[in-house]
Amino acid sequence: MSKLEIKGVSKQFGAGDTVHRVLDDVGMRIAEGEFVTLLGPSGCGKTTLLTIVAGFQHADEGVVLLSGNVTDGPGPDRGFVFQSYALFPWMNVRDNVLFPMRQVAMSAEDQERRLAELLALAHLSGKEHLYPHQLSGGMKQRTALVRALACSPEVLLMDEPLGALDYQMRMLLQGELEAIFMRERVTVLMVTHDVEEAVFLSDRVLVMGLGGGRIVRDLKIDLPRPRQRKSERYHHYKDVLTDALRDAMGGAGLEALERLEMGAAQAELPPLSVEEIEVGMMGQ
Amino acid sequence: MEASRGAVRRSAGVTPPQARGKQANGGFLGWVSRQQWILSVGVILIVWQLAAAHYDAEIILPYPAATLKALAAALVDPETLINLGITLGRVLTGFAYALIIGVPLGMAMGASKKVRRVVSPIVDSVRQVPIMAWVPLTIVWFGLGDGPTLFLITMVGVFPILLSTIAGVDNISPDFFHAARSMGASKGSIIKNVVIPAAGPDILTGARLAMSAGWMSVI
Repeated sequence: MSKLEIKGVSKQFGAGDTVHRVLDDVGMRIAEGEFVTLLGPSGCGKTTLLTIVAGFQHADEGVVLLSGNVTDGPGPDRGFVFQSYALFPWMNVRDNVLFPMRQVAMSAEDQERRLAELLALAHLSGKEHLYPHQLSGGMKQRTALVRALACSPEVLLMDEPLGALDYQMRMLLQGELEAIFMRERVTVLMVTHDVEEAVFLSDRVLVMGLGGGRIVRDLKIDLPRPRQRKSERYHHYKDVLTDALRDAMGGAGLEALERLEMGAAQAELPPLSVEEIEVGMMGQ
Repeated sequence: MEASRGAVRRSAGVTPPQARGKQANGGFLGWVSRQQWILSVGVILIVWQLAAAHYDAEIILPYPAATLKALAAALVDPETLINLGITLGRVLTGFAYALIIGVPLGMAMGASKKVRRVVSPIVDSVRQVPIMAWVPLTIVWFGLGDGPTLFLITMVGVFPILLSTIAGVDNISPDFFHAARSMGASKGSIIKNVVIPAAGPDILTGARLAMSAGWMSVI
C-alpha cells in the first residue's frame, strides 16, 4: 500500500469565461520512506497540489489518501515546511519547536527529550532562546524543518524549502537536509523548480507540465546516499531532468522566465542563481 | 550572511545614540538631545510669561506663577482629589467596556469575511455620529447619573479599538494559520498563540487612542 496516494485531483480558479484549470485529474502514489520531488516551472500547479495534500485548500474533484484513509483539512499527520518558514516571531526557537508537541498533549518529559533530540539534529543546541529575527536564514530553515518533524508526521510536505536562501547557503543546507532525512526516515513530498535540488535530495522526481499539472516524467534517482555532486550519473540525471523541464514548459520559455523573475521579486528573494536563469531560458 | 546582516542591524540600532552623545559632548545639539524637555518647558513658560505681561489681566491670561500656585492648591484640596478619582474611575470603566466590546468583535470581524459583511454597515454608520449628538439621547436613556458619561467614553473608545483589532487580525499572514492548523492546534489555541500575539501591537495602539479619546470626552 502506498503511504500517500493522490487520486484524480482537479482544481480550478475563477468563474465563467476566465476559468483557469490548474490541476486536471492529477494522480500519484508515494511509497513509505520515499523522498519524492515535484519539479515544474512556476505556474504549473505544483504548490497548489501540495497545499491540497496539506489540507489548506480543497480539491474540486478527487481525494488524497494517507495510509489508505481519506484526508480532510490540515492535521499533524502531515508536517509542512513553508518557503517563508512561518516561524512564530513572538516565540523563541524552543517554544516554536515545542508548539506542535504542546498541541498533541505530549508528556513534559517526552517534550524535553524530543526537543533536545531535534535541536541536536538541526545543530541548534544552545540557540533555543533566540527569536526568529535573531537567526540566519539557514537556522530559520532548520528550525522550521525540525518543528514540522517534531510530532513524527506520517509524511512531510515541503514547499520550496530552500527557495528564500542564496545559492551557497542552499547547497550547504541540501547536505544537512539529506543528513536529517537519513536519520529521521520520513516520507517526503517536496516542491521545487531547482533541478539540482531535486536530484540531490530525491529518490524519485516527478516533472509537472504547464496546463493541468499532468506528470510528464517520472524518474527514479538511483544514486547511493550521501549523494556526491561530482559523479557522472549525478550529472546525467541533471541533464535528463533539465531536458524534461524544458519539454514541460513547451514554447512558454520566455514567459515562464518572466514569471520566475516576477515570482522572485514578489517573494523578495535574492537575485536568481545562474542555474534558475538557465532553466528558465532553455525553453526559448 | 543573514547572521552578519542581522548583527549589523542590531548594532546599528544601538550605536548611533551613543556615538551622537560622544561626538556632541558639550556641543549644543548634544545638550538639546539630553535636555530637550527642560528646553521645551522653558520656552513655553517664557512665551507664557511674556504674553501674560502683555495683557496684564488675570481674566484674559493669568501669569504662570499664579497658575502654578492654583495647581498646587488644587492638588492638596481633598475635594479636587476625590473628583479626580471619580473621573479616573469613569474613564477606566468606559475604557474597560470599550475593550470588552471592541476586541472580541474586532477579532470576529477580522477573522471572518461573513461577520464583517454583516456587522460593517452597522458599525460604519454608528461611527459617523458626532459624539455630542449622543448627549441628549443618553440623558433620556440613562438619566443624569454616571450613565451618559460612561456611554460616551465607551462610544469614543470602542471604534479605535475595533478598527485596529480588525486591521491587526487581517494582517496576520495566512501561513501562520496554516502552520498552526497543520501542527494540530485547536481554535482556542490559535486565538491564544497566534491571533493575540500577532495582533497585540495593533490592539494596543487602538487602546492608547481609546484611552486619550476617553479622557477628552469625559469633560
